[in-house]
Amino acid sequence: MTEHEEPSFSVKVNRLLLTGGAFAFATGVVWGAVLVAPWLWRTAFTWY
Amino acid sequence: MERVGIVVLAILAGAGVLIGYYLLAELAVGYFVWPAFLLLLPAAAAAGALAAAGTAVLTVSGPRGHRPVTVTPAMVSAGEIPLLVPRRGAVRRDHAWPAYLPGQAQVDLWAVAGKLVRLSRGGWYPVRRVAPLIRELHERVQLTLAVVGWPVAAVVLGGAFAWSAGVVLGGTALLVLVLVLLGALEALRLAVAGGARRLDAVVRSRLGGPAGCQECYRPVPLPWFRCSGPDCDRTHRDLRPGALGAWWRRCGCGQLLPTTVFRAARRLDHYCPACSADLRERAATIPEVRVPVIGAVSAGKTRLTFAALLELGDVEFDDEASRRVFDEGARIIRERAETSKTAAGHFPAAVTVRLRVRRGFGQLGEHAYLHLFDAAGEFYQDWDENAALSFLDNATGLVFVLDPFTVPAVLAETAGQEVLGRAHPATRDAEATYQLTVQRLRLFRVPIDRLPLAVAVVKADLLTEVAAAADLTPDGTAIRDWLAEAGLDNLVLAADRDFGAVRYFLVSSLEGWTPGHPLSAAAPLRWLMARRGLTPNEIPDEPEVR
Repeated sequence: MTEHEEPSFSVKVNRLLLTGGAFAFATGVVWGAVLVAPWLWRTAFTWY
Repeated sequence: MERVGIVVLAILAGAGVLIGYYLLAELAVGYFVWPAFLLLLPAAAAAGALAAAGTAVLTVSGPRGHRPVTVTPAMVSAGEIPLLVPRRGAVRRDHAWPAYLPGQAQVDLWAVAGKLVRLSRGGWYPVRRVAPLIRELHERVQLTLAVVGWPVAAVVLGGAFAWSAGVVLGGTALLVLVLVLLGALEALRLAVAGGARRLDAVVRSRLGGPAGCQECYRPVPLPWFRCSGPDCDRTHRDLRPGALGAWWRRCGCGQLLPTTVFRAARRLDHYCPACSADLRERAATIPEVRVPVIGAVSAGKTRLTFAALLELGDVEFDDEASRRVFDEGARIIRERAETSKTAAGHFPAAVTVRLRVRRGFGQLGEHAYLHLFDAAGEFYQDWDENAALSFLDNATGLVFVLDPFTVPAVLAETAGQEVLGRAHPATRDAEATYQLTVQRLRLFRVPIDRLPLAVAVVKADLLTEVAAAADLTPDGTAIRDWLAEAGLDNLVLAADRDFGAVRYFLVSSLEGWTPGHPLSAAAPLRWLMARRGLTPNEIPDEPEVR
């Protein structure tokens, strides 16, 4: 009786979705940083 | 004076140092700590959040060696996965790959959470590296930390805090996002699985289920299925949609199996969980009508059974025993030969025939199984033997064979006459047989109030010679009224009270086997099949007596 070693299709699909979700999240973080960075830069060096 | 001057100078010098230190500190805060906080902290937090996302991706989709343990069918069947542990009393789960959320997702989420905790701790690495340097400086040059070290310490500590906060908050946000995504997918999966499960139940119920085992007569709502994999001999005990697959399931051997019993029954071998006997091909998908023919010894059960099958005509057989019984019965009916008495003392096998039927809904099946249990009359007369009639528990309806020559009014008129000799009257009165059977059914909690009862008044061809039955017509209501007036009012009332529906038939097993005969032998069976939504032939639209 042979055992299947690979995770099932459901696992693969869901993990792919999670990976996509994590990439979307990271994109959101980077996008937020790009939006906020100029304001932070100005605030850091122009307060005085 | 000189001392006063020195003190004043010292005070002025101290004040100068303090003012200088204050100015330097202000410069340090303004040009180092504050810009560093404003830029480093958000950067560290963003880096932490990105690292959390990267860690999650690497955990679930990274190199194979770094992925969490794969949840295997062996772990599922061994009950090692918390959400897949069967409820108390349930048999262990089948050896099959689970769906993602109830199975692998738990392991993945715990693995990601563990790695995020380690990542968050990693943010304190610079603190651990810088702290000894500051301590060493502090020991060599007193007040180092107080004088020059604090801006550096503040920035390093702030950065570490920001990193940790970024990892924790980013990781939490990511996990919440993931849980929402998984929750939506799980809701979809549950909807599909729940819908498929309901569909399975409805189809099986409408198909006349549950199928009965041909060996032990037990109903088999959930047959056990053998995997169809080439080298696999595993059994799947519950192929309903669920955590192991909504519409398909993958066996541990890799073979894809259909979930839902009605689909699996068309493709896989299946057998009875109680006695391991193989069930008939597609047993769970072909509607079944299981009809015990009950009545006293010599009431005419066997002849009625043969005549009814002969009249139904276009029947097929799946087993040789049923074919032999039918052939012999057909010969007896056609040649008007004497029916040999059914042997008592052994368990009665059903005569099983396959009929072409029209269904009330859809085109799910064009055949139906009709199982007729013709037990020896002794079974219905002795309590001990009656208790062995397990096929009664699985009946979809009953035919009660009533010998009119045991009806008090007929018996009184024909006593000593030749017609009574030809009738071979039953050896026990109908009411006693009826009561014994009903008691047996109640004892075994058979829901008889939902079952239909066809009362077949047989030997109708001989009744034409009896004056007491002169007014008797094949009309169901008329038969009921006649029985009540002829002395069986208790039986009629009890039948109305006990069963879900009762209908009376006037039958001649001797003549009623030809199509269209008014004393049709198959009419009780047609009615019982119609109650299951199956119509082998047209049945007259007659009101039920209830």
